Amino acid sequence: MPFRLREDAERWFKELDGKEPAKTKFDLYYFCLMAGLASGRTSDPAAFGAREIIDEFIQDYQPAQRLLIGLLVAAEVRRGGIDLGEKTAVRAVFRRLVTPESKTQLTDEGMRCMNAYASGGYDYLAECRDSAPASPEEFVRDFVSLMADAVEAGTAS
Amino acid sequence: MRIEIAGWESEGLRCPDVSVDLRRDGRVPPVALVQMPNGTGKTTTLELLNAALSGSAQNWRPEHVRGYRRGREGSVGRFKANLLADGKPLSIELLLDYSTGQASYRSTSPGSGGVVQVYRVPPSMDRFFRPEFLRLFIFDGEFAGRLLDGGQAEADRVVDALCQVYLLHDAASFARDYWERESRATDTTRTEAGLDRLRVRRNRLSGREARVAEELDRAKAEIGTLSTAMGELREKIRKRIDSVAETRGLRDEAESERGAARSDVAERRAKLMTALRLPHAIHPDLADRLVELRDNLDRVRLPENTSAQFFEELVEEEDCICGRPMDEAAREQIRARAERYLDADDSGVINALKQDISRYTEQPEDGEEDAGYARVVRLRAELTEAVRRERLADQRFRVLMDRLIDAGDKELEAWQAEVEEKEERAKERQRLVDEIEGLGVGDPRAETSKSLRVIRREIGKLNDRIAQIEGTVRLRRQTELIASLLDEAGERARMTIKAELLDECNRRLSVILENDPLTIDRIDRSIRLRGQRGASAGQTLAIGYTFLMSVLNRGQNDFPLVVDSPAGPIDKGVRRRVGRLLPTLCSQFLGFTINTERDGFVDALESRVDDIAYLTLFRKTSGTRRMLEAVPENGYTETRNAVLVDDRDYFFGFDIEEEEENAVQAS
Repeated sequence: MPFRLREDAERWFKELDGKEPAKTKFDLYYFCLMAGLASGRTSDPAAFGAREIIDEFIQDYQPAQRLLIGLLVAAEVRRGGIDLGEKTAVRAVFRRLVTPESKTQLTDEGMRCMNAYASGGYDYLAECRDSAPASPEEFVRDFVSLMADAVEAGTAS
Repeated sequence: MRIEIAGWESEGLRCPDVSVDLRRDGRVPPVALVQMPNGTGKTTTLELLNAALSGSAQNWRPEHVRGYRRGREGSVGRFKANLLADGKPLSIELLLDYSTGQASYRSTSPGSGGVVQVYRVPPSMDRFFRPEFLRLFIFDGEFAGRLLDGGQAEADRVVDALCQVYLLHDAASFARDYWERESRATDTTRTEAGLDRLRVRRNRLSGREARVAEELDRAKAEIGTLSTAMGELREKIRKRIDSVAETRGLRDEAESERGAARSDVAERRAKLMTALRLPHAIHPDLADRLVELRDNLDRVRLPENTSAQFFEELVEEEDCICGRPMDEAAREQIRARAERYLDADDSGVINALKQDISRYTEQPEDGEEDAGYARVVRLRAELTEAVRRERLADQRFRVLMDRLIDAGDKELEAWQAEVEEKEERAKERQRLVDEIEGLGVGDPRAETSKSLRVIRREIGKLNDRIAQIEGTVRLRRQTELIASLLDEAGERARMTIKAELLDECNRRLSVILENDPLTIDRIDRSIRLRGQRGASAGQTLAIGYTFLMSVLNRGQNDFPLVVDSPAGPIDKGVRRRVGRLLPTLCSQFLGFTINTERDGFVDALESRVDDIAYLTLFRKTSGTRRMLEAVPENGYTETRNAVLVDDRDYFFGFDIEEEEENAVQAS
């Protein structure tokens, strides 16, 4: 199962799309994903129209691959109201989301979850900003602030 | 299809316990006469035969069921009809439970090879065994009367049933029912008017879609034109600045400074982006979440210790965990079998995740002064500073332009004003493009939204609905056409058949009633006689036979004709003529008679048919003792309460006196 970026998110990021330093679609997906994981927001990307971008972590993100999986597991543990000390429940979350059999090391359900956080993250970003990003340098700087707000929103929820 | 009655069995019922087998050498004779004195249960036998064949007893009330009980004898009654369907045996057994008042069935179908505890006839016979059909070949005098009753439509129903005209009506009903079902399942808006409303709305939205799409094309084209025009104007402005000696050198300097600033922004931007690609660096809380996850995994010992490392360590031990010394053979077995016990799913990923968390969250990357969030914060500040310097460089360029404008360069001023105006227009056009290409959030109504997505989605929905309803409306036209054709075909078939039946019946009546001529004028719901309104009992029965036999004789199927008192109310001459005709008009005639009907009728039957079964059935009572004494040595069956004699001479010699008959009826 591939990573999916919402079509409206792609349009929203059009001033960044293909331009340095966020030159790949995966960069745009990553911005959305991080906002979703930080805020705990999810939504169904299929409901908005989403395009498949790639079925593996691109080279720029390979160092981050397992950290992202860890954040996904942590987000799902939190969403399920599971205490990290509950071994069986945590084990079950890993089994549901993680597999060594795929290139992404995510099960289909794990990938569906990740895409749901990316979709929810885009919702969060679009709501928090009055307008779409005007330039890459403007957005990457703002992203740090947006993420601080997202973490706060995620902690409060 | 040929259906024959091979016999019946009754036990524990109002009629005598008896087992009647009509077959002679395995064949059912074309005529069988069962002579039963009044009170022996002729009517009951025919009712039970009808109920067995039709399955109608399932709907009987308890008191109706109990009405078949003979006095207070027994708790169960049983009637079994034995048939031959195209020569294959079929039995239907009706069971009456007097204690519960319930009727049930047991069936054996041809080819099924077994008994089922329900009423079941083969599908090919089902339509012939409906009550309205059965009353045609299990005939009684009342039915003949109804054929002539102008207030009823019995004659039409007979034509429909026996000539199977009803199949055309059934097919028409099926077509109409099919449309009803389909239209209910699809949409409630089934009418042309409803469809028109949807089409109008769809067409209106399609027009809107086309207009909005054109607007989008125009806006994009205008943005392109504006962009070109702005580029040309900016180039003119740059050349004008260069053309003035006072600003030429300064522009070079400003441009150089702006270039350097832009490079710096690009470099800082790239560094910040690289730092942001490690998720734990984006915010300390994210790093904390990862560390917390790792620490808890360690604490609860995940992944489990069923890892390769366990077995690797075990084979290095001197003793196995079972206490036995670890020799080379044991080591080899452990290595070979370890695979079965390894948790080969996600343990590796979990361990790698824990390692990555430790690696990235605890140490700065090689050669870096800081790491994680601290580094992001530093790089972000550096980028902010670079952006500020770039803006300053841009402003210097603008200052040069303003200086020339202030010196009176009206043309430059106009160019700059035009650039600003075009920038505004381009922004406004871009907002429109965004709106048209957007999701339409905030204005989901397709009639007012500018979002092509919203409009197209609604058009898609309308098209789906229209297609569904068009299908339903088309289906309605088609099913109505089929139904009306079938109705018309049924009506024409009925008229043609009636005309042919009229001729046929009148021809036969002229023979049967040659001494008392009577003519059918028309068959219009009932049989209408020419020149007279009613008929005698004998005439009615003769007309009933004639009509029914004419109809029976037309179909592709052969049915038995079962008649209670076939010659009762008709005079000897008519009996004789009916008796001669009956065997030629049906494949099996089964008549339940009394001794007084023999004269004229049976002689006439014998004159036409060699193979006739003569059965006499009477109850064992004080009144029938004389008959019992007279039974032939062979050819009779005696049951608990009745005697069945299969003998022609006995049949003809059977005579019951009035006092004996009274005794039978009283029993």
